[in-house]
Amino acid sequence: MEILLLILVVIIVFPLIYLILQYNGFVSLRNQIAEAWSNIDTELKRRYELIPNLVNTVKGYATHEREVLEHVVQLRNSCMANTGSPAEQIEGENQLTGALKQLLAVAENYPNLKADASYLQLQNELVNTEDRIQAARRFYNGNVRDYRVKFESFPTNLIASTFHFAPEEFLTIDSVVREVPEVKF
Amino acid sequence: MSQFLFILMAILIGGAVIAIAITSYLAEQRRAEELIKISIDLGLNYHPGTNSDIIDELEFLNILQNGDNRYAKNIFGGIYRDQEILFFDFHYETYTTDNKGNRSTHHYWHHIALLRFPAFFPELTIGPENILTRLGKAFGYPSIDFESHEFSKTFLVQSEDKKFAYDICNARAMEYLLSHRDFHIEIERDRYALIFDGRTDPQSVVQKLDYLIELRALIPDYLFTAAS
Repeated sequence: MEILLLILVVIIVFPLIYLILQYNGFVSLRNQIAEAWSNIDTELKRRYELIPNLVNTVKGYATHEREVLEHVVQLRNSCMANTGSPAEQIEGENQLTGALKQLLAVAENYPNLKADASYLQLQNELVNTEDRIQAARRFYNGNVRDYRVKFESFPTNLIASTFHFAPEEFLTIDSVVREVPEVKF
Repeated sequence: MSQFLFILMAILIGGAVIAIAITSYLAEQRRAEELIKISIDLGLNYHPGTNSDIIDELEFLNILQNGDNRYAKNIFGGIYRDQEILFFDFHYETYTTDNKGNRSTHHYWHHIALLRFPAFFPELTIGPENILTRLGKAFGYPSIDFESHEFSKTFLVQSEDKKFAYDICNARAMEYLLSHRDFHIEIERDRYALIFDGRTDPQSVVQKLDYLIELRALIPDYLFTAAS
């Protein structure tokens, strides 16, 4: 009787406990990815809020740079309207990062603008926000990596497919705004 | 004859003990002089004696919770390269009893370099991996892995706040730590501690304080604006 009970434990109870633990592990990792994305989202929103002030400040000094300024505003608006998957949203955000880099590069040619206290403050805030975005993206990718390791490893891949856990995509990490490119006129 | 040999042996052993005691006393004096000189050169306060109040004050750090008869010795404090620092030898002891009931005391020494942050942070520990920690990880012992396989393989990083661990172990910090593997790191509340094995070598005080400052510089600024 005792042997039968032991066999029952080995065959049913242990695998069941393993299954529950692994299933909960998947759920936990999936939630961590969602939380990591919400970190990125918060930082992106912070960046959206900074852009109008930055554009207005630059406009006050660099009146001939309308094209660059309009491009930044246009990209900001399209990013704000984008409600696609994280990978889709990040593609637009990378373009916005590129446009902001160009804007800061243009500002380099206006000494009065560079000396403006509110511009300097906005630039610092933007660089700080960019650092946070980069860190949040890296954290997101770290969580996706943990999830994918579990998703693709045996035997947890069997649990993932049984319970229809979906694969997660890495985000492309673009260069940061602080790396101002050289612009030739 | 045997009595003569016994007396001779006792004199020799006694002489050797006295010689060792004098040599270690002189070595300790020399060490203290060197430490005093370093404190003057660096413009730091120096207290050569033992102090257990510091240990009580910083007891939230895991390393300072070990064993009994805990105290700090050779304590440096003050401002070094614009940071408020503390540097000291840390002693604790543990006891074992053999099957005959004889109790042995084991003394342990570490030296610790600490700085104070302008903000409070969650607990984080970084230490070298060893066979036991690797085995533990295989059985689900909590640890945080990073994109650098080499870093994850070399260090055991633990924190309740995974995001904070990612912020601290950024690309530059991971690179730095991979080239400086002889210490543990503990962050808790407003303290950043580097923990080294053994007692302080006076020649290495400056180098170890520099490690602390260099690692502090690798912490992103946004963490302080977010935490304050």
